[in-house]
Amino acid sequence: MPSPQRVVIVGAGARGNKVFANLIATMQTGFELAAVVEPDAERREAFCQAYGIPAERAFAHVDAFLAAPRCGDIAFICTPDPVHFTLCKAVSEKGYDVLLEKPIATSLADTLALLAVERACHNRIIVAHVLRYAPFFQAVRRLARSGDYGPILHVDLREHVGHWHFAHSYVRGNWRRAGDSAPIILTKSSHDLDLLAWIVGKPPTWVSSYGSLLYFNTAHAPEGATDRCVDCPHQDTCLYSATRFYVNESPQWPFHVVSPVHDSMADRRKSIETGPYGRCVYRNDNDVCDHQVVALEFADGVLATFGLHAHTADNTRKITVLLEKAEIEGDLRQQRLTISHFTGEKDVLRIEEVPLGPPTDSHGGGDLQLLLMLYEHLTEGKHRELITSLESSVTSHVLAFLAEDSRVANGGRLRVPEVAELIDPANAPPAGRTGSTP
Amino acid sequence: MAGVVEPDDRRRAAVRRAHDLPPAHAFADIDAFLAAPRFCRTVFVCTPDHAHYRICKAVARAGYDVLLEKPVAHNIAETLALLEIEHATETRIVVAHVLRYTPFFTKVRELVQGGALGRVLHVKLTECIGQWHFAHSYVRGNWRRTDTSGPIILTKSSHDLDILAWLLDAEATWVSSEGSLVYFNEAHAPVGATERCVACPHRETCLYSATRFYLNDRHEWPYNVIAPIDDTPAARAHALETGPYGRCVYHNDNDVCDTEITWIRFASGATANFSLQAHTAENTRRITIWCEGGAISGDLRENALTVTRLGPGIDSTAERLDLGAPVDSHGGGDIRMLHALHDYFAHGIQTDQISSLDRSVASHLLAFLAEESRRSGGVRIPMVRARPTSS
Repeated sequence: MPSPQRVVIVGAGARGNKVFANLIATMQTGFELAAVVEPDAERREAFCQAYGIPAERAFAHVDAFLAAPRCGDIAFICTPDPVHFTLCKAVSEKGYDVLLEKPIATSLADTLALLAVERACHNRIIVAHVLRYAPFFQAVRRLARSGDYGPILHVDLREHVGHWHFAHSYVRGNWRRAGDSAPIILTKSSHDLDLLAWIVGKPPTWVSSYGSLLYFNTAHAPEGATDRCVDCPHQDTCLYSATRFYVNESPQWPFHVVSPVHDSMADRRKSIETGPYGRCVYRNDNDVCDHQVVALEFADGVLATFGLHAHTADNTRKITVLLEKAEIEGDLRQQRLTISHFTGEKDVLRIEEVPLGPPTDSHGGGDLQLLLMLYEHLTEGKHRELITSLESSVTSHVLAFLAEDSRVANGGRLRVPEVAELIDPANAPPAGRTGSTP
Repeated sequence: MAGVVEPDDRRRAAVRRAHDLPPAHAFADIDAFLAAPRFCRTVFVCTPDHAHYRICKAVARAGYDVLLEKPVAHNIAETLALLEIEHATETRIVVAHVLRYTPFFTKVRELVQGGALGRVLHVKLTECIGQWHFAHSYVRGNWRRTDTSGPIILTKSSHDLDILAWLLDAEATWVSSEGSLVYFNEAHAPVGATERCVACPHRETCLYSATRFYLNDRHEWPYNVIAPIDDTPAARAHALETGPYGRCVYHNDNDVCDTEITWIRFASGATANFSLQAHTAENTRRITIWCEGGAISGDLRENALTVTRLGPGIDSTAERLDLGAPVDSHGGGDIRMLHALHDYFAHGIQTDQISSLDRSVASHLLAFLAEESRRSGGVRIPMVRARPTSS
């Protein structure tokens, strides 16, 4: 095996610490933890203790890290969304490779600017669109693109966020306000737009969207609901009561997020008395959509649809791919994938189950697979076609920004320019090429 | 069964024989029927689509109650004109929106309107037409062209738009639609495909080979459609040589969409996402209704629903409701509609399902506006008022 790849974790939160560092420490990934950048002293110290990072490689600020002697091969940027761009640019300029959490950036201009950064720095920026690595979606794409079933004619992808997950992350959590992070179609669903573009494999021609914050607003507050659950008369019955949901002994996500360092029941109670996770879901400052649908057309008139739904029981993704000779249907979380082969006869189908292994987390095992493939990519140049390189990930963000523009403008198609055209309008195609017209 | 109006002599004779009708109650055209002495109370209008409006108008004005097959008319003006006639006369016009009467959708509406799951937030309804059914009816059959029948959002999916409006019992505020004929066109013809299957080099292997599909000894729909009177092997073979059902699905004159999505917003704030898909394995409809407190989802053909209730933690409970044996693509709605219709016409009992014209017109208005949106690049179209404003 080639030598280990030394990782600098930038942002020791739920993703940086509990997912990536934990996987690196407990699984054979080829990576090893070398350094950490984390402004919160308690978190930073806890991280160093948990993974044996020496003090001289634990930094409170990225500038200190950048000023120090080089201490790793790749930086994992797992910070809050608004600083993804500046951090990615800074570490790239120091020559580090980067695994960048989605979203790439919170504006289209910054997203495109990173392409130029990568070209200038000759480093490799990989976007953590982890779902592409999930065995489930790998299988979907392989089957859909195999040619065995003819061309892809339609794809429908549904993101079932799960009502408790939505309340946690998008009503109370870091992604609740488009102004503080970005619209949910970017912060959450860049995954899904990335999957659609990756599965279909043709250039998108137009996108259209609608959506709104229909439910998590004051209109739905029960009478007498207070601003915080701890003193609310409904705290024992409300579906979204923070006292019922968080004050327990589960060390799992999302419960551990509310008091990330000292996680006793008393700490949790204190957090919901004062912190964001104790606020009423109906009387909050959240503004991101709790339901949104997107339609997009790819070359050759292939129509794809995406639906983001907050009010689901399951936290999963479901997909349907219609092809010339078969229908593929599956559920990520259940790890269920079936192919119904058309026979040309009425009521006669040949249904095949695709074996995928046991049910899994909401990323479908993609986090670990990402690390395994990323390691082989960085060290041996493998998986060029599958890896979520910046270049192959930018389309999803272009789609997300345009979908949001369409939604805000009350719907209607927006043409999707090619990335080259966005960078330089001189690359625009001749007028009239805007996809199929009815 | 009291009488029949049918221009085809052989079909008319066959119906007369089958139901033992007197010769005086069999007519070659609607004018002869209307001129004859009255011998019945109700007329079922089951003609090709383009004649629905004209015939319905004539029999309604003559005072007959009407069961009218969908679509009721081909534009908003005609649809509203029929509504005026219904309002201005004693006539009752009921639209054959048979899906309302199925145990499946009846149960869905009961659950939605019962309110146990709270307010409806979003509905996803998918019409899986099934690739063979689409090829039969919408590539080769009567509903393949917008100009001779209507856009598929009207001829096929007025059912679905009706179900959405009926389930939510809410007024639409806007509609938008996107869709096209993605697959059944020249671009997908195998090399060397001929205009008819009987002479085609691909007839043994093509998924849509008419010779493989129709030349069998099954006598149910859709096979029996191609030689409707003498359904012999020779008659079917002849039909494939000369009739519409023997034509290549790729070299044809069809133009209706094989993929279409329609978004609707209701005054309640709820939204609906309807998808019509030709290239599906099953011929069924699937629905999920997300409500404040959970969801109702199911598959019409499986005749089963799942009611999910959200829990206070990460777990939810799901209850499966089996509504009986699996059913045909109308979900057992045809016979139940006749029972409900009889109670309505004979005894004035108006159940929740009764698809009287005034309670059905929204689906047609939505269909016309969806088509207008689709042709205009998916722009949102505000819903028009259903009721005529002038007397």
